[in-house]
This record gives sequence, structure tokens and C-alpha cells, in this order.
Amino acid sequence: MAEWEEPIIWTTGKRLRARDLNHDLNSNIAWLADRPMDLKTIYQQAANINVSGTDWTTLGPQYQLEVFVPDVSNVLLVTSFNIINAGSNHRIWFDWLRDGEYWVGAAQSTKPASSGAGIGEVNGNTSTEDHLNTLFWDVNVPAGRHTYDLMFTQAANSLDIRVADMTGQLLALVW
Amino acid sequence: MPVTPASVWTTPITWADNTPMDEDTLNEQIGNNLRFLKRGHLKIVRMPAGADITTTSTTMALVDADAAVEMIVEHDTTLFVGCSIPYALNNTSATIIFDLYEVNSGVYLSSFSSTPAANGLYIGRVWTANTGRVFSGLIPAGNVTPGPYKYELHWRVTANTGTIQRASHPVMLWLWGM
Repeated sequence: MAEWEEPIIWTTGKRLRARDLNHDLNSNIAWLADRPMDLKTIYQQAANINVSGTDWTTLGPQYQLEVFVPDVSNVLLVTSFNIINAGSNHRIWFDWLRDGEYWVGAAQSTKPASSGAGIGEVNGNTSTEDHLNTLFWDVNVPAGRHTYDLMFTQAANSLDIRVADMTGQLLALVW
Repeated sequence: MPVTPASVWTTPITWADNTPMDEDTLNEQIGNNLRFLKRGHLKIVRMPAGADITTTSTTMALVDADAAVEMIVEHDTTLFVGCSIPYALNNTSATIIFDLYEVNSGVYLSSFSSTPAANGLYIGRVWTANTGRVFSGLIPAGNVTPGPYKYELHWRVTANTGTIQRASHPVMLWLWGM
């Protein structure tokens, strides 16, 4: 993947060298044509992923994305999962955790409340499926390599993320 | 004199044999246009924190003056309007309907006319009263020409009370030209 470098600032007397043109017209254009992104597709696993407990939890490396941000940029975070609830009036909340320290939806570095916080809520009835399709921007992300963990918490019972026979997807895109 | 890096778009020139390759032209045509393409047409608005917003209106109405996103489009592009709207209803039999209204042209995105489609862009309900869901969308707004665009979030309910859960969750709108 091409690296983004700050475009050259031309000044009077600066020679028009091939390497400068390559810097701006090759590397940066190639970067624009192939923006940093991380896409994970989770399908046909042995079993659905079960979430239990009533505090924020990650689901492991399959639910983690990583992107390199060349300078202050925005990162679009997308989820597309079917979920199935184990109890009636089941409520779950979700958020993205950047680098293990910044909660994107809550916009804070301290862990949000264990219920009623994060980007939003999904709920359902016993054994009824719902869909967790979300788009959210992490705004003005500093330069560097960043990881994003999809975090869940819930009110009670347990939740299955249905990846045994349906496709789940996660995406992070730098813009 | 170095120019200040800018994220503005300048229509590319057609180079000819004698086109001067002076510093202003190179910076404008290469550096600034590259920076613009990197960031592009993107405006993200996160509504200021505040109390939950509620409605009992059964006719389409503006959610809140802050529930809007605007941007000046600098060149022909395909515009998308995105949103992440956490909402709830206090009755499982009611539905909540959202739409996006472009202020300058006076049209709803659901119908491309001044009258919104009956069920708007999004119609939702909840499994249990007062529990939440999220309307997350990226909706094509069409091929647009340069100029100002402002989209407001409008809503209504079929009955009972609808809530945008601003007190506990973020409300985000964005415009994206691609």
C-alpha cells in the first residue's frame, strides 16, 4: 500500500525533480486510489458467538480492526451483524474502543456506564433476531496506527451474534 | 513564498507546452487538490449533548435546530447523507418515521419533492416500550452540482411519543460527496 506524505509546497527556485513529482503524483495519488481500510468478514463459524455478563466486553481479535492514519483524519466504522437474544426485553449496548483507551460513541476516555451508554441500543424478544447495522465516524483521529474493538454490554441474559450461518462484517475506512 | 496548505478544490487546468509551471500553479493544481481529494466533500456533525428530544407530532417536523448538516459542494459529485440516530418509542404499536429535508431546494429525500413520502426514509418500532434502537443509514442524495446543501433531520410518529436518546447516546449526521 502506498504511503501518504504531505504534498510538496513549491517555492520559487525549487527544481522540478522527478522524485518530487513521483512523491506527489505517484505515491499520494496511489494512496487516494487505495485508502487505508480494514474489513473483516465473519462467516460459517462453528457456532454463534455468545456474549454474557453485564459489563463492557470485547469479543476478541476477530472483532478488532486496525488502520494506519497518516495525519489527522476521520475513520468510518461500520458493523453489519445479525444478533439473537436469549431473553425477553433484552437490551444490549455497543461502542467502539480505540486503542483500548478512547470510547468513540461516548467520546470519552473513561469507561462508560455498564448500561444505557455507547453509540446506541439494540433490543429484542426471546429468540427473535435483530440486526446491528451501524455507521459511525471517529472524528479527528490523530496520526498513527489505531485499533478499534467492538464492545458490547447488556442488561441481562445473553446474546448470540449469529455468524454460524449468516455473514457478519466490520469495516474501518480512513477519510 | 510557500502557500498555506488548503483543502480547497481548483478545477484542473489543461496543460499546454507553454503553460508556466510557477509555484502558485503547482501548489494549487497538485498540492491543494491532493489535500482536497484526501479529505474530500465530508462534513460530520455530532449534535451537542443535551436532554432527550421527544415528539408526539404525527406530521413531519424538524427534530431540532442542531439536527442539521450543511456543506458547500465545490465540484460535481454524488452526494450521500449519513446518520446515526438512537431512538425509542413508548409504545410497541407505534412507529417512528424519519426523513431528511434539503433546505435550499425545499425537498425531502424520501420523495425528492416538498411532500415527504408516507413512510419517510426510515420507519421503525421497538420490541418493548422505552427501549432503544438505532437508525443508521447512508442515503444517496443524487448527483449534485457545486453549491450549498443543507439537510435537516425531520420526524413524526404514528401515535404516542417518540424519543431521540440524545442524553445517553450520540446523534450524528454527515454529508459525503464521492
